[in-house]
Amino acid sequence: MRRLAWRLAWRQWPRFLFFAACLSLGTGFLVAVAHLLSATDRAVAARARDLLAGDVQVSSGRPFGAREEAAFSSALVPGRAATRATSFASMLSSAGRAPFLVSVKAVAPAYPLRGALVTEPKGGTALLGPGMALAERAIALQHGIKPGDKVRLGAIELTVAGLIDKEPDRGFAAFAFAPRLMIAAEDLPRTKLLGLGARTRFTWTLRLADAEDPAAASAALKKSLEAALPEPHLSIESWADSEPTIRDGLRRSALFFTVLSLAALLLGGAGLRAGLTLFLDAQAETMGLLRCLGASAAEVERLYSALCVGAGLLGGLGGSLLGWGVAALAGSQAPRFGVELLVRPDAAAFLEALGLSAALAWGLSAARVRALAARAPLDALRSAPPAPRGLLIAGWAAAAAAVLLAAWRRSGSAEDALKLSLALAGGALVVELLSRAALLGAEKLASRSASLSLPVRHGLRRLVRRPASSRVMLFTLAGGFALLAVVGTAREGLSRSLAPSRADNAPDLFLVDVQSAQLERARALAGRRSRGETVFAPLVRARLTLIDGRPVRREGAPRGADERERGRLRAREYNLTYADAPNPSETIVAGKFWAPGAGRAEASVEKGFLERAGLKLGSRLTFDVQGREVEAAVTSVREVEWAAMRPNFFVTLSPTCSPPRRRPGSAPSARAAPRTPPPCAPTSRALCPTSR
Amino acid sequence: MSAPVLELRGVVKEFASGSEVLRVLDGVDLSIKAGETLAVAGPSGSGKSTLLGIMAGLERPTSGSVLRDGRDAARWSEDEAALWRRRRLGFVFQTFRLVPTLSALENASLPLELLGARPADAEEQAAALLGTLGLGGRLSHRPAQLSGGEQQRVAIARAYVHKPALILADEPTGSLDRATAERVLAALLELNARAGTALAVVTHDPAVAEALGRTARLERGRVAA
Ligand SMILES: Nc1ncnc2c1ncn2[C@@H]1O[C@H](COP(=O)(O)OP(=O)(O)O)[C@@H](O)[C@H]1O
Ligand SMILES: [Mg+2]
Repeated sequence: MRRLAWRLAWRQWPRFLFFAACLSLGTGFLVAVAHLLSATDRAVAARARDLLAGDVQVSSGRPFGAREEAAFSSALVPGRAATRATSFASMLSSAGRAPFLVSVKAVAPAYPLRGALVTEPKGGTALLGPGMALAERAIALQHGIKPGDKVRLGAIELTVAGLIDKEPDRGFAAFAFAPRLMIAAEDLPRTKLLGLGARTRFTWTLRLADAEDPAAASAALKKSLEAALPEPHLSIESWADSEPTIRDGLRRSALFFTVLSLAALLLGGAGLRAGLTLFLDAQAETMGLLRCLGASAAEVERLYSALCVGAGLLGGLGGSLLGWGVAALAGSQAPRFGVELLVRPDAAAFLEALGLSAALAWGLSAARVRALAARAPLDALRSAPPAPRGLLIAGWAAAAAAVLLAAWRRSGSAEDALKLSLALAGGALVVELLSRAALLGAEKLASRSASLSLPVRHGLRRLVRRPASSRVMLFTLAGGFALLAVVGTAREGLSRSLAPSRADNAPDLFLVDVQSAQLERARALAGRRSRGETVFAPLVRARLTLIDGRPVRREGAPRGADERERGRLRAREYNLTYADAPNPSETIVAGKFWAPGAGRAEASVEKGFLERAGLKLGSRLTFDVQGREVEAAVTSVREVEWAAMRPNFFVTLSPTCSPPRRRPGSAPSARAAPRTPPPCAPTSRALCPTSR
Repeated sequence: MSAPVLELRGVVKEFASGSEVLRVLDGVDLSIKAGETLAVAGPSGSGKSTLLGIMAGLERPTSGSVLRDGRDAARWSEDEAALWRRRRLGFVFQTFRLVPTLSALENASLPLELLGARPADAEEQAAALLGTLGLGGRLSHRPAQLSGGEQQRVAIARAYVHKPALILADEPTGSLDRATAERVLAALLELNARAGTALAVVTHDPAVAEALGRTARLERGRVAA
């Protein structure tokens, strides 16, 4: 039987090549996309690990206690490495200069565990030691401090050993509120700054062993740390939590490419179905003959199922080779576009391609094979097979399940996969109905019009008489157009969401922590450096103290990650701003943004923050803004396009909430992002003092 | 005396078309002994092919019993009937029914392959048989490259290659000219004489019926002896 199957296939190889080709395009697409996405994901992951300077991090506003220490030491199995850092804000003074605010970070020599600390001179943490400090270049630029200078931090004097050009876990500079000063951990106690009410952040960072799977191991570790350390003041992060925008973009592009691949696959499937039906019907006589010669219906069914599945596997193989080739080619070309993409063969993607195409080939042929194999052999020899009355539900269900599974695996969301499959099924249904209507119309036309020319009448009759092949043609046409439309719209949406910074009005210069005295100079500098307008947004540190009059506190241990997240978000310290209007990267999705000059104390809250912190429209929020209580009701909810890189904030307060201007000795601060139109009231009013 | 290869007792076959029931066979008694030759004659539409299908186990009788090698096949499963066909039966059709994508040799060796013979053995036996049927030079030809008579001789080789006990032929000469028909019939009879294969031939050609030992005439659903 196996030999016979092989012979039947081999003697009709062009047919089988066609079947395989029908599937190769779609599966090739899937394989290429899978490889490119995982290569991109790896690239992003590498960056994300740099951004945490490690793989898993625990941080807290309080020193770690015995419980934390126990959890840390049990996490530190051989092969892993850990380090600690302590950061806080303090004033830095040096001879002949006014003291200024810096963000101090005390680190051990092992820092950073991932990524590199780029300094001038070279050396990173090796330059640090007792009595030494590394200063962010911004300190040198703003305050004229250079390597070799002496600075005073709390109780000790330090020598600036070098300038920091890049600190891996500094994140996006715009989120920092003061330039960095890095010192050696052993100097920390001598500064005598800890325990003086300074808000200090303690972090413990771990690097996984090389042999561990970064995603799985860090997720598992994060989970076990969360279980061991449930207190809400502890924030437990893994590298995978960072860069949500890029990850979101990747997920969306994965879904987009999945739609594309599946559409290609379904088109191929339509071709395959038509081809298989023709092939099987032509084989009906041979099937009847084989049964007369003593093959059972089950044997004949197995023989032809094997042929169809074999064609599917061949298609999957072709798709795998095609997709891998495309991905490898793209990977080799990526460096020309400034991207490093390491494309590694992904067995799961190959298996998926093989499985999917085999399942499709089987699903699209099974019912027909069974019907023909089980036909009375003498009927099979006597008359042509009956016209296929569509495929049995089982076959379609198998094909649909395969597609659904692929969509789900790719998008990572059962809901998206279901929606996608429903959309595809709905599209198919619409095309089916339209094609039926078209055929009906053609039939009417052909039957009653003597006025039509002979070739036209003949053509119409042909269409009507062979409805199956006519429908395949219509399907293919409609599918082709749909594919073009999908590609067009999706590409547009994708490029908009993935590359917002390409937009003309994207900022090209960020000034952070501009003090009020520096405002005019900063504006002039920005004017010289940038073609666009400069927008200064006021920035103030605040802490949420009451929600609807009830104090925000962590009541007992949180139940589950959600509650912990809520507690953490509520208790955190924020950068707030005051504004008269939402800026162009913000959309009001609920409530109403206050009118300029309105006198009430109102707050506009970012949607994600609102949800995660468990707030709602109408919640009364009380903030501690530099010791001053500010109460405002949530009157609008905003969606923020974070990727627009404008000065965006979780919470915006109405200008009424802003404190009296210019308290003596205070240090006003503003964030600026040029090339955006002014989002709020005149800059002078928008400026406000920071907390220190 | 050994049991007949095949015996039909009171076989009735009805086809239901809509509300009407068409009784094609109405109590057929018939037996074929080893080495015997039999013509099944009758006008077109009298149920000859239907009878052949029941003999082959491709169709079940509505009532009555079929004995194969002395065993009642009434409750045989489809697989058991297929196995019996594979071992004990050869088939020849009016329109040859060769697999168009396979060569003459491959077509002729199909039954041996179905029986699980080694491919080399199967092809060797088939080639020898095709040689005795005068097709030694045509082994690798496809059916489309052969004449009608040659195709039917390949079909005869296929029916005979696994040395069955019985060959059923449904109008094997019906689509051939007289001279070719005679050669084909001669081939069938020669194999019958050489190996003692029983032969049942459906025909409405009196000349064919005459060349065979016994004639069963189908009339109004019954065998008129
Ligand atoms: N599967 C079937 N369903 C309904 N009627 C059938 C079927 N097979 C055969 N018949 C009918 O049975 C009768 C005998 O057919 P057949 O055995 O082919 O006759 P013959 O071979 O003698 O010409 C015919 O009238 C035919 O239409
Ligand atoms: Mg007949």
